[in-house]
Amino acid sequence: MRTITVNNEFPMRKMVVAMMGVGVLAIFLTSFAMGVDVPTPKEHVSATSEDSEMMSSVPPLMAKLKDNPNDKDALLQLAHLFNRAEDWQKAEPFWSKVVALDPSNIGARYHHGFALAQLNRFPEAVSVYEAILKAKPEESTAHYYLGMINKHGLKKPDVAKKHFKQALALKPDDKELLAEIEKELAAMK
Amino acid sequence: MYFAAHWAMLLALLISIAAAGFACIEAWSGQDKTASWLERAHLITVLLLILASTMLLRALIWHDFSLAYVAKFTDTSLPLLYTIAAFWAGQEGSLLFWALTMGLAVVAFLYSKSYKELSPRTRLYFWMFYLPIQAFFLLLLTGMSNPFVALATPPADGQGLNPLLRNIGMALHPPLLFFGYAGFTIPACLALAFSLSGERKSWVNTAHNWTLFSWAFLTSGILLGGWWAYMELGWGGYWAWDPVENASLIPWFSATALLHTALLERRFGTLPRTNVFLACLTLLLCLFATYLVRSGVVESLHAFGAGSVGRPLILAIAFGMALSLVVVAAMPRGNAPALPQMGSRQGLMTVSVWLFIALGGIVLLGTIWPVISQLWEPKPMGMTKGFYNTICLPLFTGLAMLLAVAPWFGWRGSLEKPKMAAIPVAVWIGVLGVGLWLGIKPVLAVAGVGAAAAVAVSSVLLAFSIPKAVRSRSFWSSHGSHLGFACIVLGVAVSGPFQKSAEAPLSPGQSISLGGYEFTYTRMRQFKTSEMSVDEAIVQVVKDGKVVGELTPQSRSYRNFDHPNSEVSVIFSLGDELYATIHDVKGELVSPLKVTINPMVNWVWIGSVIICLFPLLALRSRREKTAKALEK
Repeated sequence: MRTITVNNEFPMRKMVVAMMGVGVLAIFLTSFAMGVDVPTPKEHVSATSEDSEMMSSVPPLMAKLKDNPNDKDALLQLAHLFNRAEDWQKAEPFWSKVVALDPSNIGARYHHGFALAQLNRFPEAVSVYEAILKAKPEESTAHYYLGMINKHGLKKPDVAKKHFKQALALKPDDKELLAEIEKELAAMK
Repeated sequence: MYFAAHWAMLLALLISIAAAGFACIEAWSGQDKTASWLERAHLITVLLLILASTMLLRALIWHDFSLAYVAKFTDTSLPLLYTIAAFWAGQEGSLLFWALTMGLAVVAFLYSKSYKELSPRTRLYFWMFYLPIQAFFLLLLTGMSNPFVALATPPADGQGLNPLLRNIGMALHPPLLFFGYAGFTIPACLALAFSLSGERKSWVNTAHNWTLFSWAFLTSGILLGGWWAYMELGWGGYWAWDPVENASLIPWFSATALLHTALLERRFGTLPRTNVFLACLTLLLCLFATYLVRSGVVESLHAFGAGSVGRPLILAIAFGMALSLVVVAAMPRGNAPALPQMGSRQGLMTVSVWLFIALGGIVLLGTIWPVISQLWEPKPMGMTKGFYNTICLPLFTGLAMLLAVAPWFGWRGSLEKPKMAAIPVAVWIGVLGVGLWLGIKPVLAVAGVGAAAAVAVSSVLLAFSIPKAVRSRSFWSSHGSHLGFACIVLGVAVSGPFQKSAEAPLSPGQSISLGGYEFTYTRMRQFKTSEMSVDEAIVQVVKDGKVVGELTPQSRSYRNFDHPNSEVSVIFSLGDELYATIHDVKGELVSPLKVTINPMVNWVWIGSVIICLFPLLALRSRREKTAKALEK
């Protein structure tokens, strides 16, 4: 076995070699932890998926925004696209911008609140729905969403009950809403 | 069957880990016996990677939708070129392609004279640094980013390739980038290996061709990406400072800095530590580019979604950075010659290197700003185009001016031909003065045009004043590529600020007037192919009563994709390029027809071709390398 001359001019040679050794060991241990199987198949998405549509629509819309960051139509379309893809992280800033540009757009406010709730940003979602109620106290759906957030997100069943009841009081004839709220209230008993 | 491909990658991973481990043990104990075994191990892993890649390619071409990757990125109507290009359409295929390219590049290096001339000790260290990188890629491929995931219930047809990617530019842009990324592995590993082994000759000579090749591929990949954006996205521009675009630009800055500092080390032995650091930094920034694109850390118009490879990539980058810093810090200071004063070509070249580093730093900071600012901002926002343009364009203009004047300085100091050197500066001042006198705004654009003209004049004067130099390839390599850069500066300076655009919903017979041109929408043509149905607007362009040409922008509805895609149509010109897109079509009504006049935009693409090809003239053959070595 031929021995090479150790390079005296490189004082930290062994440290560098040790670092590489640690790196190799880390790769080995990670591969060991992952096992030898092929990862689990992902769910197949249908051929006309929302993702595909979104992918092809996003760049031209983003380009429009580069030209005009306040292009309401582009913002709205992007927000809807990300909503449909259930990418709340991306949808939320667009909804926020749409609301900032057009505070009278109650639909956008609902979407914004929903996206925030999906991101577990419950206090912000509550503020959004409360703002809707401030502008339109008769919005029973806002009470419904506040009930849901307080029940499932903030774990405040009493506040949730209050909102569910207010929703029912505002729209006692809405059978769908009634059924939903009754289901929620029943689960709280 | 795809289990075989998966197992091939697993075996390759195991061999890479084992070989890297042996290399570390040998290096630790001061032995150098295993180099030939490490070479064989690498050859086997590359064969296994070829096997896995062939299986993926076969699955793509045969439309085997039982493989999730094939089902996601292809369908039966996709033309063969794009079916093959789907290999790198997704994260899994891209990483496999990168690993394969890297492996093949190292095989080519293994059989090169440069490798054979390395001392056994340097070879051992080279493998000690390279094999873990290969193992890391194989770890991603066998786990978090496996292209061989099979579907329990294969669909009858796939989803098809994103229509925006069905463009020759996008078919070639990713592989060129990956050639560049993969190629930079060799200079980085050589830099570290030479540092540790203390081999006498400089690694920059050994890595010269690899650095040049990788740089040319990276540059062409970036510029082709810009051309694709211009021709396919339909917004009339080519660079939006999007995080994904920036991702590949950041390593380009450090790579370009490395090209110049390596030249200084080759000629004068200066900046050895800087070169080692820049070689490592470039490779790490290539990985960082992938991290930016694949981790979902920043929002982007074409970020590819949150992926599982983000964390391992950032850990690998952090590890690589720590290792590089340790090596650079521990490098003996030795007796590397000091840099001459600022008023020399070496000094000015160093200034240009600093400018490249500054530009890279700014683009990096701007790109990851939303990540940093989320620490105190509830709603972090990315940097706007205005931010990048305001900071980067003056620096690019400054760089162009440096290119115009630096060749007139001697390598070790003093201005060699002051009168000649004054001419490019006078040209710049003249162009700027005329621009100001005519009231042309923005002034920066005029300064850019002046700088481009100064570089062109400087290059021509150099050719005339040093006729001997014109016969050398190095002259054409450096000044040719600088001329290419000047063309790009000219194109950017004019096409961006002086672009004109108009849009309106039009019915047949209606027109838009813009910049002296009359764009008349004459009729709608509709046709179908197996891949798509097409609405094509025929737009006649007239200027001063003369027909300039016909624009045929299309709205394409691809199979499997509900949303129509705009297909750009252009009338080529070295002056005003006319550019048209249509969005929605209702019967014969187009809403809207958007027309754009892009002045001198083609100089960007001309410059791009020049800047990618001319540096290759500096590639050295074996004979030249031997002659250079004997000279020394």
